[in-house]
Amino acid sequence: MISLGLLTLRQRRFAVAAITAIAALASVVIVVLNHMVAATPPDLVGARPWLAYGDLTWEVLYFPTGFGALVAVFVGAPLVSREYENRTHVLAWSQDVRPRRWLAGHVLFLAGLAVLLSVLLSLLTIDLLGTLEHVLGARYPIDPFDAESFDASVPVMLGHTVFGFALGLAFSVLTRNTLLAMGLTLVGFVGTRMFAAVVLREHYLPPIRTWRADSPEPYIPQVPADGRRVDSGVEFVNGVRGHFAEFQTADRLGTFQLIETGLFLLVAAGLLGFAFWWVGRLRRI
Amino acid sequence: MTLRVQGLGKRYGDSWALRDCSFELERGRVTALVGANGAGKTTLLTMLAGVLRPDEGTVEARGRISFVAQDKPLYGHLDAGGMFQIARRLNDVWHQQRAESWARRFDVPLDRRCRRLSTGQQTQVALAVALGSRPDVLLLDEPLASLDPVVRRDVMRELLTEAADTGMALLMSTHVVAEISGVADSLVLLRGGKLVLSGDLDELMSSHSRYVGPPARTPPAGEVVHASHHEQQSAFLVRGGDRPGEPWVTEPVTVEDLVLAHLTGGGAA
Repeated sequence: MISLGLLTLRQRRFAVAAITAIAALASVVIVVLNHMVAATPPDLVGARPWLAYGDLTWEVLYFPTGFGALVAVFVGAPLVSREYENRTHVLAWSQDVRPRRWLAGHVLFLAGLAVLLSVLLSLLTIDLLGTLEHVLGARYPIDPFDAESFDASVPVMLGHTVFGFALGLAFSVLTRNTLLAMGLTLVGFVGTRMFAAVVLREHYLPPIRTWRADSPEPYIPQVPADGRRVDSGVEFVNGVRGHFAEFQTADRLGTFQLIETGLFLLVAAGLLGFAFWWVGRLRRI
Repeated sequence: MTLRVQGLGKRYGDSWALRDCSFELERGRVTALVGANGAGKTTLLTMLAGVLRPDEGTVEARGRISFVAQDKPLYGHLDAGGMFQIARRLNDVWHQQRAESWARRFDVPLDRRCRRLSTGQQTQVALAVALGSRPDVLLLDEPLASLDPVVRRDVMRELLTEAADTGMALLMSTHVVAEISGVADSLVLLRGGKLVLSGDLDELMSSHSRYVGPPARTPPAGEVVHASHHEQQSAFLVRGGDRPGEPWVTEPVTVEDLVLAHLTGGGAA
């Protein structure tokens, strides 16, 4: 298997060099920015436009996500389709190493490298987020369930990267067309990630539900400041008018991140299984 | 027996690309795989090579198989040396020296990217990769197509030596009938996805005869493979049967006659 890994390195040196270089560059940006944020005196925070919420500094928190998409589209999607297009699969698969083993060597090595790099980016991003919260937390509170903080987790990033790679590989073996596989992977990856972030995430566990009868007193929110509102509204209980709230609490974040990791890894395993089965069928040349 | 094929078939949708194909390859022997374009040669070879799964039948091989596809695919961004490294990692057996000496013998620079090599040189790299893995069975799909006549002769001579020296069985497809004489020991002939003729070339030659005589509907003896009729005479290429007497004249059958007769097929002319 190590031998096959070295083979992958030689055969895909461009892809390997490209993703390593991009990850290295992103790491440098994150580290430098981290230092700049940390070095900003609290009274000057307002005078630094690049620290304003939504500005460049905050976009950097999405680097690991972007890296995952890059791996999916530029490493996973062309992996087998390029061989089909150049007909080199006939060369590679007619040697003593059988197709599924050949694929296993490539997948283990490339996905392993991608995971390693995305974990590195993830750790650096978590560090940056910590600095941002420390310096700017009072000015721009970060909701733990916002994408910036939810995704700043090693398991979550690992799950996303492996899923993206597997999705690219599945489209690669299915379409045998690199460009098509890349397009489908991009749409599929972004779509799935958004669907998870916007729709699925807050339902990983049943939300906590509270209800309070309306009173003339000023309304005190039922959803904690660092919680995530799922639903709320007017509700009559035993004829009494009141407001209900459904929400997730910040202490659930870790559990939710593990649930999302598990879901993405499960789907990734399914996609990988499909890709290996499909390739090994050898239905047409 | 090095390789035995039994009832091999491959279907694409409802149509069979190859059906009911059975033959054997012997150690150290060269077998020519002949057929018109689309007869199923490539389908057969890719199934034997293990890159296409048959829908029916079995391939039983004693030893390792190597295959050079018709379009001689290589990794274009690698040089011949890089190709050899890949082949070494993908094979249980690898003879670096054999591969390199083949490449040198045919003037292939080892340090030039494959996509910058001429098509002839690419063919040589593909052959070097296949031979470097020291296969027991070597499958070649139209190996000589991109080579000039002189190199073609040299390559063929080297391959025959290789087969004789190592006991490697060689199966090579061609649609150039003239390439078979003096090269092949055996013949496998496909027509329309069916195996119509196979066996030792000498035996096939001696079991076929060509009779020329007065116009006739049927030959004086044997089973008609091919018939041609002119105003004054009829000619039959037949299989089996006793040699007829006057007025029939028996002419020698050439490999070309034999192959072409079976490729065109039928008694009609």
